[in-house]
Amino acid sequence: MQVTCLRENLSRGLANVSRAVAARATLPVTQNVLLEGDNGQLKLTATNTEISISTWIGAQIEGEGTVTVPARMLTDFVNSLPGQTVNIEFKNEPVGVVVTCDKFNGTINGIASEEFPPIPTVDGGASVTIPADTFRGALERVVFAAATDDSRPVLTGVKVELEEDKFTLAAADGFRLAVESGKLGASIDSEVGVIVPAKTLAEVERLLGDGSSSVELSVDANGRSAKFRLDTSEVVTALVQGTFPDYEKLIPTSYGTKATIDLSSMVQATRAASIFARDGSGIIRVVVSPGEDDGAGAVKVISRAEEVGSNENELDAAVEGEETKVAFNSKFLMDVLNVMNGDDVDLETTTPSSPGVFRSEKHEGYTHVVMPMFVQW
Amino acid sequence: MPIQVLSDDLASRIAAGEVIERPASVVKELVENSLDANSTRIDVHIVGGGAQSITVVDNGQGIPADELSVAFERFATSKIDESSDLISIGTLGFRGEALPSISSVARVEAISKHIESDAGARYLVDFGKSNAVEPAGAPQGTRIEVVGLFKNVPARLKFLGSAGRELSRIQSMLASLALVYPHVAFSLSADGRERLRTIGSGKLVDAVSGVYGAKVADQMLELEPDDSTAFYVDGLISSPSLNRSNRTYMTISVNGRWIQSRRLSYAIEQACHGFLPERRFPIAVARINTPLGDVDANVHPAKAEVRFLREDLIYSVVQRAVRGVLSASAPVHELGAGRAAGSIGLLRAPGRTSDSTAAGSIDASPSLSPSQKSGFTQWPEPSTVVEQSILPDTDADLTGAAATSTPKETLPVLRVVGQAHETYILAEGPDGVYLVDQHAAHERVMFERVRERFDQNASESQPLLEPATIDIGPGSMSTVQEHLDELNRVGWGVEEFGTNSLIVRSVPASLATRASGDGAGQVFVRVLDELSEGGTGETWRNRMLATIACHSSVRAGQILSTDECKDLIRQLEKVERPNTCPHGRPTIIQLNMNDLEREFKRR
Repeated sequence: MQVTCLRENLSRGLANVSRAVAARATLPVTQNVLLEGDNGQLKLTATNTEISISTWIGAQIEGEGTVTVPARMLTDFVNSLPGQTVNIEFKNEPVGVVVTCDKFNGTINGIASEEFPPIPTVDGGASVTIPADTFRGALERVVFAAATDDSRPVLTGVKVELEEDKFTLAAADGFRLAVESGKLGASIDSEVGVIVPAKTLAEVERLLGDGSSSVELSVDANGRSAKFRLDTSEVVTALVQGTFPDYEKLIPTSYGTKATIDLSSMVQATRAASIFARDGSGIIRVVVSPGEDDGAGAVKVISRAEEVGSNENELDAAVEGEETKVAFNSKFLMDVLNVMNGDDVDLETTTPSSPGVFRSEKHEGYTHVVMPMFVQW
Repeated sequence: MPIQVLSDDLASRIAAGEVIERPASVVKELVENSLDANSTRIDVHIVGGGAQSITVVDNGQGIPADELSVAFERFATSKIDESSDLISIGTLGFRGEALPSISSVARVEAISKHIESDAGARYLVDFGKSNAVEPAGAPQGTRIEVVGLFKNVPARLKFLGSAGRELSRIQSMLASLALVYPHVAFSLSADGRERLRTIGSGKLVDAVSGVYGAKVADQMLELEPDDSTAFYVDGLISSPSLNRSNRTYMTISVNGRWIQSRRLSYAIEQACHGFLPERRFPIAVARINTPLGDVDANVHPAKAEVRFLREDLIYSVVQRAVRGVLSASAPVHELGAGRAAGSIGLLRAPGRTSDSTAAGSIDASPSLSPSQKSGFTQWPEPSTVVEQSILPDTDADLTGAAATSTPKETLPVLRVVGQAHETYILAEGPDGVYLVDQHAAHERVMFERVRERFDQNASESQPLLEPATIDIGPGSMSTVQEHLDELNRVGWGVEEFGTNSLIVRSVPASLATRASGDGAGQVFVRVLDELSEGGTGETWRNRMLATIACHSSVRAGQILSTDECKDLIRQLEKVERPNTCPHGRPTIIQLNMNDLEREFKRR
């Protein structure tokens, strides 16, 4: 088989699938990328058996054939080529490809495609379409809150719920919880609740940067795998089995004090405070005071480094309710502020020992809960 | 059989059993006599592990001819006269039991010349039967020869070990005495071969050099005595990179008397906790000074143990002294220290790998083993040329470790070069290249931070989003109950929940950014497992804090940016004891500039 395509497209396609290439090879073929012709396009696939990514690029295809070649070598070689178009010729004896571009020529040996792990087919279950920008925003604000250690595997995943015309993503690591709901492209009949590995969703988020218009999410009938279909890529993943915590009861239903703060000022104040918190135990204290006689209130962001110094930043804020104070880990505070957009951020809290809830008018369906730290005031 | 008083002969043989157990006890009694006679040189010759003959020659003040026979009477001594003297005993012997005891179970010949007489005298006691004192030509001092030990006590003879075993007992006993009396030149020869020699310069480090070798002596740190009080300790302790796998390298003396005290060795061990890896022990010489009235030496027949009036005070004095010097000058672990000659580990040239393990194992074996005796042979005659005592031994120039081990007081100024294997931070410093174990280093930083907050009673706590239930073993529950206050104080919020489970509501704040809530809950189980092994008070607390620090730290295999590396090094510079992690592993290892140049054949 002969394939001719733009070098730039091939390069991008290889970059798309590269994250699914196995890092450590227990199975050598999983370090390879599968090349095949598919409906007049070149399909690239990589898998580490937990997550598989395929991507399609426009190409001129003559004949038929499939082959797997080392992903790393092909990617690096293609990236170093000078010309505009690349020609790939599939070889049988030995198995491999010859890559030609202008007068550059590389022969890469591979492994027969029969040895490539089969990508699970995902069908029989629910399937919905979600507008890409809505879904991407939700991923950005939720996925980071998932646990990175696997002491409780369900927490390394993100709970994805589909109901009527609504989707909900939820992630928690034991200290914080991020939840976002949004509209589906069309309503569905059944209810779906699956746990998708956070790593997979991070890949989906990255691929959505490619400019897809929508995401089609399908769940297999047996509930063990799911597929995200983008405009030119597809991600197939195993699902995390288990019961996700009942996150809704972890979201406080009321608050004593609510402060609406200018987001960029809050980010700046928190970043400054983090410098001092770094040498301590990462504590940032937040003091919220309502203004007198219905005047504007204030939020103080305070941090201390033992024996080194301290920092206190005061911001204007619209405060509703009593004066209160609460302490957060600087990392948790920075993380949530960094994913917010819009002009303002809302902080809802009640006492120093009750959770802080972050919301934003801009992200209507978003709620972020952070457990406070118990500190000496 | 009617009740009867035993004959004198039998009675003294029974009494001898108390004091004289084996050849080593004979040597000990005789050498202690020599020490009490202000000798500056003591030579011991052993034949057949001491069973055949033991000869002790000293240059002390000697015994006057007319007192020579009295010395062999029971309870005859020149060291005390009135009973009140038993309260404060400054001499090693005082009971007057040694010579009569030995002479009842062996043939003993004593030749002595007293300092004030012109000629010497000779006196022979043959298994309890005394002979007349004869005049004899003799140099200043006393020479006692013990032949055929236990020949008349077959039961005792049966229980003696092999000649080699008895010799090694004598050797280690004499080594200890040599360490306690650095101003006395000791020598030991067995079957004509020299086993031990110290030069008697008065400097403890020279004694250590004679006993354990020059390489060891180079790495000893001096205890700084606080002699403003009546109780103080001086001596030497090995720097943490030099350690041994058992406790026999700790020598303790009280007011010049060598003693064996489990409690005091434990005090030293405890003081080294955190500097040495688990189950490794220091080489140490601790000389404790107390008012004489505070010690009762009249407790143990062989005087190996003493009783202290204020043992706790001594315990803490010892611990403080050792800990002080270790924290003040714990040096950077040097690559290859305590390892084979000529090998510097990572940069070992190809083809020489095979000898490194073999040589390393010799180094780890007791320095007194016969295979190393050549190290002692070239010492100059005792008390002649003291300056030469710093001569390196034969292979010292092959060992990068011995030649350059200058203890560094703190971390050198380091410039981060990068990260290797996602585990080590590579840095260059004034005297070579340094490798920092990122986990161990961060662990040390976190440990001191966590401990500081704990000590200030100001530990922060991070509550969990959802309380976690954990199951623990039945034994662990009592640990939790026993230490609940401390667990709360460091930030754990735990409550009992049924018989064998707990609810964890909050965790120490430092754990929050490294592990998920459940991960932190599991750390709690880990802490309990480690802590249920026992221990109390400070040890327990430190282990708890170390476990928390461990789980709050970056792991091996975590990629760090250059800024993060720099930040870690900067934090490490600030801690009290940057060179070891709280479990005693080194945080930093040096590749010496000289070694590098040598390995690359630049010179």
